[in-house]
Amino acid sequence: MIKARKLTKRFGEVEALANLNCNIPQGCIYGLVGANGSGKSTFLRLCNGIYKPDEGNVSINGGEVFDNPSVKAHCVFVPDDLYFLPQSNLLRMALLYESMYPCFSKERFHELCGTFKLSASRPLNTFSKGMRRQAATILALSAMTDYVFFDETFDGLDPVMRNLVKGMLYDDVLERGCTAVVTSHSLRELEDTCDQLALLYQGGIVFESDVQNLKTTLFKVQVAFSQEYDRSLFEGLDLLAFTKQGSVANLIIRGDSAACKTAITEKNPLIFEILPLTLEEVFLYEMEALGYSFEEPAVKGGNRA
Amino acid sequence: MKPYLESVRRLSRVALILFVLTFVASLIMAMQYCMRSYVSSIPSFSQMFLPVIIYMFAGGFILALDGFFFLNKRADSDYYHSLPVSRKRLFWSVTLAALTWLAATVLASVIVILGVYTITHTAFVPNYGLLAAPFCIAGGMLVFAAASIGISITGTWISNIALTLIVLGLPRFIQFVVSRGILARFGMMGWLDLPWYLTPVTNVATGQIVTFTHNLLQTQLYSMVNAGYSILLAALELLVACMLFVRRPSELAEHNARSANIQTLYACLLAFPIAILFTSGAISPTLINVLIVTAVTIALYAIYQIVVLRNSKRVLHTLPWALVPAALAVAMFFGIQIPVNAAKNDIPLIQDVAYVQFPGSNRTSGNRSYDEYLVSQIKFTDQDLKDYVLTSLRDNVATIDRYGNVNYRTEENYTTLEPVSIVLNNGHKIKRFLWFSSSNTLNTLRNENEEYAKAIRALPPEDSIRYQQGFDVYDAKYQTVEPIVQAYYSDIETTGLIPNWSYNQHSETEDYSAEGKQSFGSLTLAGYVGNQRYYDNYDIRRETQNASKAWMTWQNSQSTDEYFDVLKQISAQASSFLSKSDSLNCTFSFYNVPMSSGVRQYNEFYYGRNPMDTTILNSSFEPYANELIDIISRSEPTTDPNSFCVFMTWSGRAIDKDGSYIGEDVIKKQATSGNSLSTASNMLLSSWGDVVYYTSGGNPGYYSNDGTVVSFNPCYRAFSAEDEARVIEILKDWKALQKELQFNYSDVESEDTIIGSSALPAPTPTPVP
Repeated sequence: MIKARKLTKRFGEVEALANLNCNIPQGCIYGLVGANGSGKSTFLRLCNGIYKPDEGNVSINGGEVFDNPSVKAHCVFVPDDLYFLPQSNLLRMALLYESMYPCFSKERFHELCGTFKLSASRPLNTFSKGMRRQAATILALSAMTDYVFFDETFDGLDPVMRNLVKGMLYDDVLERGCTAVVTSHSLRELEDTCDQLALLYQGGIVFESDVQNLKTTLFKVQVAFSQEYDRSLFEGLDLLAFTKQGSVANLIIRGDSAACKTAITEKNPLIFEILPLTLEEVFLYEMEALGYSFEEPAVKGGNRA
Repeated sequence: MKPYLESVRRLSRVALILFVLTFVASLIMAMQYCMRSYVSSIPSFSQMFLPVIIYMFAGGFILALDGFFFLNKRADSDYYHSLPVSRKRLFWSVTLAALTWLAATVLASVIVILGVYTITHTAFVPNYGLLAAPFCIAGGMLVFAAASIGISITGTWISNIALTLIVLGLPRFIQFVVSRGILARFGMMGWLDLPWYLTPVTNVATGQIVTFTHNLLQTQLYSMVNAGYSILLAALELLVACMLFVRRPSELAEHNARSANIQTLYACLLAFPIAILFTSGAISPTLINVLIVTAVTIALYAIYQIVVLRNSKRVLHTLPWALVPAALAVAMFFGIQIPVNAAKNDIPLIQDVAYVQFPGSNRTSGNRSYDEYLVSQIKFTDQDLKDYVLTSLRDNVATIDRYGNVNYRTEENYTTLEPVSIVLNNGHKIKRFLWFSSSNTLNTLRNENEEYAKAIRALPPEDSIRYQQGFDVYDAKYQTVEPIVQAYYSDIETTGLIPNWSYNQHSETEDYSAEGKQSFGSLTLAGYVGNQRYYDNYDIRRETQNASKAWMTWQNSQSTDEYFDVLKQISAQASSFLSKSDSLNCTFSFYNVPMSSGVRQYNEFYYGRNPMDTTILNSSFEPYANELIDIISRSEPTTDPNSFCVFMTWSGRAIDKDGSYIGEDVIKKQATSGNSLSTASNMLLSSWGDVVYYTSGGNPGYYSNDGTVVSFNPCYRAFSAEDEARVIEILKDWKALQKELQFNYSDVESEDTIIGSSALPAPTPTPVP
C-alpha cells in the first residue's frame, strides 16, 4: 500500500505539492488526473524516491521510499520524458534493468518484445516516439515489480497499443497483485482502465473515489411535467445539479437509481429518462458540489510537474 | 556488484576509446624515443610517460563527466534516482568503475612503455617504472574527484567545468600565487626552498600543470610521497563528492546551482584567480595594470553570470558581489608581506644549527652532475662553515633590505651563489639562495669534511653509466669509446684531481689553456643512481694523461677525411677564387706550444679566405697558412698529449678553371658515403644529401652539401724535429703579424708571454692532494 501523509514538495518559490494525503491500496489500478502543473509527476517522483519530500512522507508497504533501495526494488517508474542509454538497444537496456531490479524476467522481456513486435537489437534512437514508449513499457513490465508508475504513458500510444498495454496491466494486477499508478491529464484515458481515481488540483488531491461507485451512484435524469415545477419538486433526492429549459429539466442525482426512479415516477412525469454520465461529467459535478471551480486555469503546481 | 559491473559496462564506450588512444600513443612515442639513433641521456619521467600523464587529466575528467552525465539532464537524473540502488552505492559503483578503467588504461600504457624500453635496451630509471602507475592513477583520481564534486553540486556542462576547475585548481592556484608572491618579494628563496605546505607539487595533478611552466619543480614532483599524498587527498575528495551526491536534489539537473546566492558564489570564485594576480608579483600594481585587472575580473564574473543566468537584469543585480574577490585580493596583496618578513627574519643562532647542506646549483635539473648529487647529500656540521653560512645569510638579508636585491657582488671575483639548507636542532629547515663572498673560502671550509673531499673527486659508478658520448652501453660502438672512460677513471683516481670547476680553488693566475689544463676533448657520461639521473661532462685535459692519450687514439681512429691534396689545391687558389661563393676556412689548434715564460700552451690560429674579403688581414697570413698546410700534410698522427701537435679542421669550396669543383670526388663521397656515420646521418644522406661529421667533441654535426669539402674530423699530428722548429717560427711570425695588424683573434699571448723557440721539458703529473 502506498501512503502519503502531508506530502509537501517545493521548487524554490513554487509549491508543487501541499499537504497531500492519500492511500493507494494494493492490487488496483489507480488513476491520477489533473491539469498541467497540478503535481501529478511530482507525486510520482516522490513515490519513486526521486525527490525528497520537503515535509510529510510517502511510504510503500510501510517503508519510506527516498534513498531506500529495499522499497524501491518493488517500484518501477515510466516517466513522461523517457531515458535510454546513449546508442543502446533494448537488449542493452534489459541488461541495465536486470542489474538493478532483482525480479527482472528475461523471459517476459522477450515475450513482450514479441507481443509489441519490437526488435530488441535495433538501436533505440531509431525508434519513433510511440515505439520508445512501448520499449519503456516492456522494460518496466519485465522488471516484475509490485508497483508500476506510469506518467502519462498512454498519451503517446496509438489505440491498439494502448489497449495492449492496458490488457497487460490488467493481467499483472490480477495475476501478480501488482499495483499500477497511472497519471493523465485526460480523464477519458483513465475511465475504462482504473479502479480508483483521484483528482489533483493545485498540489493536493481534491477528490478520490472508486470508479465503479462513481459511475453507479451519480446519474443524469431528463424529466418533464405537465405542470409548472422547480427544484423544490425533488426534495428528498441528493440533487447535485438542476437545469431547466422550458418544461424539460436535467437533473444530476447521487444515490440509488432504482429508488430515485420510483420517487420520480410517483410524480407522474410526461418524460422521464435516466441517461448515463461520462466519468468526466461525474468528476465535474462532484467537484462543483465540493465547491471547486475550473473556470480559472491552475496557477499553482509549479513548473516541474 | 551488479551496479558496479553495469557502470563498468556503461563507461566502456568512452573509456575504451581513451584506452586505445593512450595505449597506442604510449607505444608509438616509446618506440620513437627508443629507436632514435642518437640518445645521450636518460629520459625524464615526463619524457617517458607523457601520453599517460595527458591521459590522467583527460581520462579523469572525461570519465567523471561520462560516469555522472545523468546528473545534467532531468530525465536522466530522475531515471537513475528511481533505480533501486542507494545514492551512495550508485556513486561508488560509478566511481569504482571509472577508477577501474583509469587504472587499467594507466597500467596497460605503463607496461607497454616499459616493455618497449626493455626490449630495445634503452636505459631508463627503473624506479620511474614503479612510480608511473601510482603517480598517474593518483593524478587521474584527483581530477576525477574534483570533477565529481563539481558535477555533484551543479547541473549543466558549463557549471560542471567551472566547478571542476575551481575545486581542482583554485586552492592550488591560491597557494601558487602566495608562493610566487613570497619568492618575488624575497630573492633569497627559490621554488625548491618553499616549506612543504607552499610547495605546489604535492598534489600531483596540479603539480604536473605547474611543471609545464616551472620545469625545475619536476625534481620534487615525481615522488612516491606525492603520489601517496595525492591518493589520500583524492580519497578524501571522493568522500566529500559522495556526501554531496547523496544530498544532491535530483531537480538540480539542468540548473547551474541550487540557488542564486550559490551561483553568485561560483562566479566570485571564478573571478578570484584574476583578482589575486598582483599578489603573485607577476604583474606590478601600476594604475593601468590595476584598471586592466579589475576590468578583467569584473568581466569574467559578468560573463559567467550572463552565460548561466541568461538574464542581464539579474546579472546587474549581483554585480556588486564582484567586489568581494577584489577586496579579498587587496587583503592578500598586503598580507603577503607577513610571510616575507617572517622569512627575512628567520636567521638562527649558530648554536641552534644542527647542520648545513648544499643542494647544488643544478638541483633544479633532474639531470645534474654526479659529484653535485653526492655533495647535496652531505650534512656539514663544522662550526666555521656554519658560521660562514650564517654570516653570509645575515649579510645577504641586510643587502636585500638596503638595495632590494642581492645581486650586488657580481663585480667581485670568485663570489658564488649557492642554495643552502640550514637545518636546526629542532628539525626546522631554512632553505636559501646565498651569495658567498669567496668560493675559495667556502670550498676550503667544506673541504674539512672528508665525505665532501671524497664526493668532489668521485666519478659515477661505472656500472651505472648508460651512455658515453651518446653511445648506448648496449651498442657495439660503445666499445670504441670505453677505453677513454677507463683511462679517465684511472687518471682521476691516481691524480686526485677535482673534475668539477666549481669545487676547485681559483686564482687570478689560473690559465685553462696552459700546461696540464690544455683540453683535448670532453667526456660525457649519463646514467642514473637510484632515482637520480646524472649527466656529466668532463674536460679531457693534458693532466689526465692516459685519458688524453686514449682520446687522441680514438679521435685518430675516427679520422677519415683530412683531404690534404684538395686543401692544397683550394689553398693555392685562395688569392684568386673564380666564384664569389668560393671560400676556405682553416682552424689550426696547436697543443704544447712552447712559450717564452717556460710553459707549454694551447694556441689557436684561424685562416679564412673568400673573394668578398677585400681586407689585407687574411691575405697577409696566406704564406704562413700555405706553408703550415704543407708541413701538416707531411706530419704524422700522434697520440702523445705531451707532444707539440696540431689538430687542424678545415672546410673549403673552389671552382676550378674547367668549371668543376675542386675535390669533386670527395664531394661525391661525402654526399653518398656512410663511413663511420651514425644511422641518423645515413637517413640524412639518403634523404637530403647532407653530410654528417664528427666534431672534436665526438658529437655528430650536419653540413649542407653545396660543393664544400669539409674536414672536421682530422688526426692529431706531430712533426719531425726540423718541421717542429719551422712551425714554431711560423707561429711566432704569424703572431707578430697579428700584432702588427692589430688582429686579436687569440688572446692567449700577452705582452710578457710570447711563443718561445726552444723545446721545453715534458710536463709532470699533478700531485695527489
